[in-house]
Amino acid sequence: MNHGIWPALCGATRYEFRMQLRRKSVWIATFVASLTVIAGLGNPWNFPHDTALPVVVAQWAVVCNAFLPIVFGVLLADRLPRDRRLHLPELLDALPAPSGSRLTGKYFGSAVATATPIFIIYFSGIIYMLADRHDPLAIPLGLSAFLAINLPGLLFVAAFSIVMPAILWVPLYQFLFVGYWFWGNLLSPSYGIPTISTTWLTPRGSFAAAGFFSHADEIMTMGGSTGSTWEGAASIALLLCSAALALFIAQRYLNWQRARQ
Amino acid sequence: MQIEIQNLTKIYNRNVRALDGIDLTIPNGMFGLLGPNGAGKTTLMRILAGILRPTSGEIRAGQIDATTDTGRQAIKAILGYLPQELGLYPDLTAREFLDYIGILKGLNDRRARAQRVNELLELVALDDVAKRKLKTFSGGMKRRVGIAQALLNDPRLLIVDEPTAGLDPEERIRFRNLLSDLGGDRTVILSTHIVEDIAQTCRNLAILGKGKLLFEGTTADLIDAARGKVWTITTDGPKPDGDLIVVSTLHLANETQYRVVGDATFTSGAQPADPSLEDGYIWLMRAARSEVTTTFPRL
Repeated sequence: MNHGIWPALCGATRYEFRMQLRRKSVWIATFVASLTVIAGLGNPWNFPHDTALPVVVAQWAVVCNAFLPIVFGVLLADRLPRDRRLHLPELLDALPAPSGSRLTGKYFGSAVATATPIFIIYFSGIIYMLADRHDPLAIPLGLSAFLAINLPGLLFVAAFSIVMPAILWVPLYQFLFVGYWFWGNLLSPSYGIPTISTTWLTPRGSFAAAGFFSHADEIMTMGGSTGSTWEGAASIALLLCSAALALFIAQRYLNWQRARQ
Repeated sequence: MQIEIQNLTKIYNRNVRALDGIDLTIPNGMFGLLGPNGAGKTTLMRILAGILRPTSGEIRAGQIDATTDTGRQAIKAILGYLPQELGLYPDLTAREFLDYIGILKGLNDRRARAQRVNELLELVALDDVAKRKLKTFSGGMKRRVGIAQALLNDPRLLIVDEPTAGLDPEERIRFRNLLSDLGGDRTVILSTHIVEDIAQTCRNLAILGKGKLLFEGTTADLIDAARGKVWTITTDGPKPDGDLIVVSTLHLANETQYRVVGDATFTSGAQPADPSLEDGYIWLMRAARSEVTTTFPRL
């Protein structure tokens, strides 16, 4: 028997993905929230045909990243406390698999599962663009926009939504997270309230959209950013590193908690 | 594999002494751990399973020093553990759950793991419901999934904590038989407060009370300790009182028959009875409460 990190991580990812994907609330909540996306501006069908395809794709990715990550974060917040509620830690802690593999597997598995309906909604828009413009470039552009604009932000949100409930009551975290999202991502600096919505740390993907797809949205423009390629890359790197750091600290904290029982 | 425990102490929150200087030898085969609620059984099980760290003391499982981080990890590799409060993922099927636990136990060969899962589903008679989600399972079926997951890695050390709690009589008997079959070539520690479970499965046992070891020996030793202390009293009058404990009450046509444990001085008309393991346990706990340790030495 091999009690390595990778097999346990892959196993945990696979089964956490499966469990989260089977939750009806993941599908219902995301599709209900998608009504705000479909009803809002910036949809593929709201752009004139002479707008460049990368701009339309990037705008659609940013629009999907405006509200859907709120549902995404809220739906992930119960994953760690759920194990405690189901009395699973005692069983799992008696297994030889490293606890870090289980946490990381839970992170990847449940994050990808919760992102699946978001991807379906997003990709439906890309399919619309393909049908509307008859330009096959919509597919690779759509995929790369999702990877650059949506995914880093979702991974950032997932890390905090998985680990923060280790120290916070889930409903309190969910409340604070929704507040953070509006303050830190959707609040325009024109209101005069300090916000991080125009910094690299915004998981909305504005910097990647501007840097890689020449699409600078209103909030970012007001923050005075030019949105260069290197800023887009820096924003992605910062989001991913923050996520990794959050997971690392959470793992150390959980180990410390176990040791002092 | 023999487990040697020396001077084991566990203190919670700096003042709650859950285990107090336990010295215990657990031999190969079925071993019972008995005691009332709050005696420290679960704490001892969790320490043996590597989940909790002891405050002080030594544990050796075969050649493994189970008080070090490396030792705890080595124990986990040969351990099967069925906790008192068994948690399962309700959205997984029985087969998926066992497959997942198998992965976390290091059974990395997919085909061998699937075969082992099938064998165990058959062993615990759940093969026909293997594709059903666990949230649809009864308490007894969940317990059987619990024992199956504990056996996935063919453990040399099997720890089962209160395994029959909440099971109906038929399930309990089935479970006991299963445990007895498993005890042949491995160390199986059965922790329970149900004396009958120990009586039917274990030759050796220990009794804990308030974190201390009250008894260590064979079931026959414990039964012998209550010899001459067990009586039946048949009366149509009031319930017998005095320095005794009524173990059972049988309502006859016109009278009531009481089975009591106590000294012979309390009443006339009492008939001596052969002690059972439960009588021995009751006598021991009575002695422990009265702190009459001199009348009941550790065997």
